[in-house]
Amino acid sequence: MQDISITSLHMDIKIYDPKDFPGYLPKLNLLYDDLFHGGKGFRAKLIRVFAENLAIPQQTEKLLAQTIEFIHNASLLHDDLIDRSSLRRGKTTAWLKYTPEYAVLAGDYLLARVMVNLSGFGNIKLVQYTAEVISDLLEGEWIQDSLIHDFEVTLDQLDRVHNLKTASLFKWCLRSPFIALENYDSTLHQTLEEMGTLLGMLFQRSDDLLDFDIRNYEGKALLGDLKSGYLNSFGYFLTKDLAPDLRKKVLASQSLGELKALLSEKYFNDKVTEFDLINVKLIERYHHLLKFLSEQLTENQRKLCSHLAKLPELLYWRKA
Amino acid sequence: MELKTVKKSDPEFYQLLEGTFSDSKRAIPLRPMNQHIAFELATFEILPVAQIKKPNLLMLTNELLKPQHFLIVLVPFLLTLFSLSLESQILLSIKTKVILLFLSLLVLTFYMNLQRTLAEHYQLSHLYASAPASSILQKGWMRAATVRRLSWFFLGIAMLLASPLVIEQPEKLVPLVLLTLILHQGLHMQKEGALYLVRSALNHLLLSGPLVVVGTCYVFQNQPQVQHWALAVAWGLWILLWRQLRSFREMMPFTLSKSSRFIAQMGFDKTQSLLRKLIITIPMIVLGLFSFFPQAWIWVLTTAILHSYFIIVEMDCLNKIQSSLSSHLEDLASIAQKHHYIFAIILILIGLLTK
Repeated sequence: MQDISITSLHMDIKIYDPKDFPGYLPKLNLLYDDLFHGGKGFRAKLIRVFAENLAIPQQTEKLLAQTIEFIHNASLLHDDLIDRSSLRRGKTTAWLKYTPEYAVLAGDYLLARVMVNLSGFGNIKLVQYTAEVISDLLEGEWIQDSLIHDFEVTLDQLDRVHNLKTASLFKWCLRSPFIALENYDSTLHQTLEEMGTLLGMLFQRSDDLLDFDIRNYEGKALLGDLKSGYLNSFGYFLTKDLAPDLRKKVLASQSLGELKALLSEKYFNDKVTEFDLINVKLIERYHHLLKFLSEQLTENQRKLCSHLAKLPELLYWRKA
Repeated sequence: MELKTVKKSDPEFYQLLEGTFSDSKRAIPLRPMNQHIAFELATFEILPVAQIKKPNLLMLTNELLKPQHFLIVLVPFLLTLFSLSLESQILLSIKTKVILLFLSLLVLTFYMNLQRTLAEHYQLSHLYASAPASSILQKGWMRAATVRRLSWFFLGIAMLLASPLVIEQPEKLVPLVLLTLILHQGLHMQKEGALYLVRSALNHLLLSGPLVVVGTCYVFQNQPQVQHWALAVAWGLWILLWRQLRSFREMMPFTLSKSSRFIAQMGFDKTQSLLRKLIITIPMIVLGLFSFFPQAWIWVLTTAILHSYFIIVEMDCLNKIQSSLSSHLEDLASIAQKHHYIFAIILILIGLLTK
């Protein structure tokens, strides 16, 4: 994906409508700038890829990029408060740095601006789909919250949550450009929906592996999920075949060293390999659907597929 | 990995589903990544038959026929038989009738199990459930076309075995047999609405209780007594409760796929609330109905102890369920299953003791 500086991306998309981020609201601008600058803007960059290959007008691209980043960042603001997280993107979380009330209101504000700007654009199907995605996001968060301290949850159940929470934004990135161009073909959109879910699942599973220091190039804190009482997808996979006593000890581990000592390095590495193999099958399914997608696109649009083909590498294997 | 995605409106879709597209390959339908939209597409993994690891014959037969489901029919059949006057038979001997009726019910159960497997396969609903009916088609162990032919074969055998019994008293038994088949077909129809829900519940109740009890009475030239109607209703209600306790784990997939099932229509909170009431009231009604049995005290006392234990365990489990993805949903299904097996065995033992 094109290397665009985060600052320039941020400046591009923060203000779509002159009424976005009015100066008379104290700290709102600071709060949002803080949050956005720590991120990679991946979803907005994905929109740019679509815009370039589908000949989407610049203002429309700006709207779509702003929409997805606003929704994503709104969810982060609320998530951090719900989870009582102290760090986000290497910095103090908004609710701690400012106040919980500001964090909630800032998240609500971003979602409200999304609705205002989208409805001004005039494509009702885009508004409806975006509202559905926000709804899915909230449902996913609601259900995930109920799974804290439930260490008997299965991979299937976790996938259902991730489909609502993580994958919904990827699905939106793939489908919204076509909706904005008023292409509503159902086969096309169902294909994109499936691909979006696969991307979301791969991204989430890769993120879950970071917790266990696998391909942790960003230096993310380890065992964060486990310590907060949440069994992520790799945590489930690692422990599902263990005897109950050992499993209990592993789930109570306070460090990765302690966890590996209980399991053995070989067992741990074998499980990582097995988990990767399962996800390689998901990547194959994604490429199959990509081929199916290319048959539905026009000749000019097909160059999009060469960019989409790189996404599993980026999202799962974390290769730039 | 060879994959194929087709539209459901494409004729190739049914060929893949039936397994008739190739002699040397099987098409395994993959679960769609999304359930909340009406899907026009289906993706299959195409596997060479030689690559599919089949289990041994015993396990394959068990997975195909699901003989454990025969318990649903066996209990009312045996309890009714133990309570009947077997003196005045017209043509066939008692022993012959018992064997024919037992076998025809067993084979009919196999037919119904296969039909359920096929219904799930053609509706692709097994892809969404946490506990699909069978792995036979899901894992490519057999072709759907073969399973369908087998199901008709079993129906034919069941009809053949039952025919001497029916010929003896056609005016009473033909309507029962027809009603059984119609009610069974009604179970697989996917329709929405309160009327459908009530009809579905009634179908389950009638199929598991009254039809077997009344049919058994008629076969042995007996008129159903109060005790038999009590048994029929008690067992039918028990089966309804057992099914709902096990189905609760399917709440989210059924809701997302817009299923017409009871729990999907009710929602999480209402279902949980209703189950709390049913866990207590249905066993109490069942105990009340046992009071119509001869030597009622044995039935009531023994099953009261059993139900009391399981009511506490089930209620405790139900109260721990905080969402439609809670791991306690599986625990509840597992406890309900144990409750069902133990209850069935105890009833048969008491029936033997008191006959």
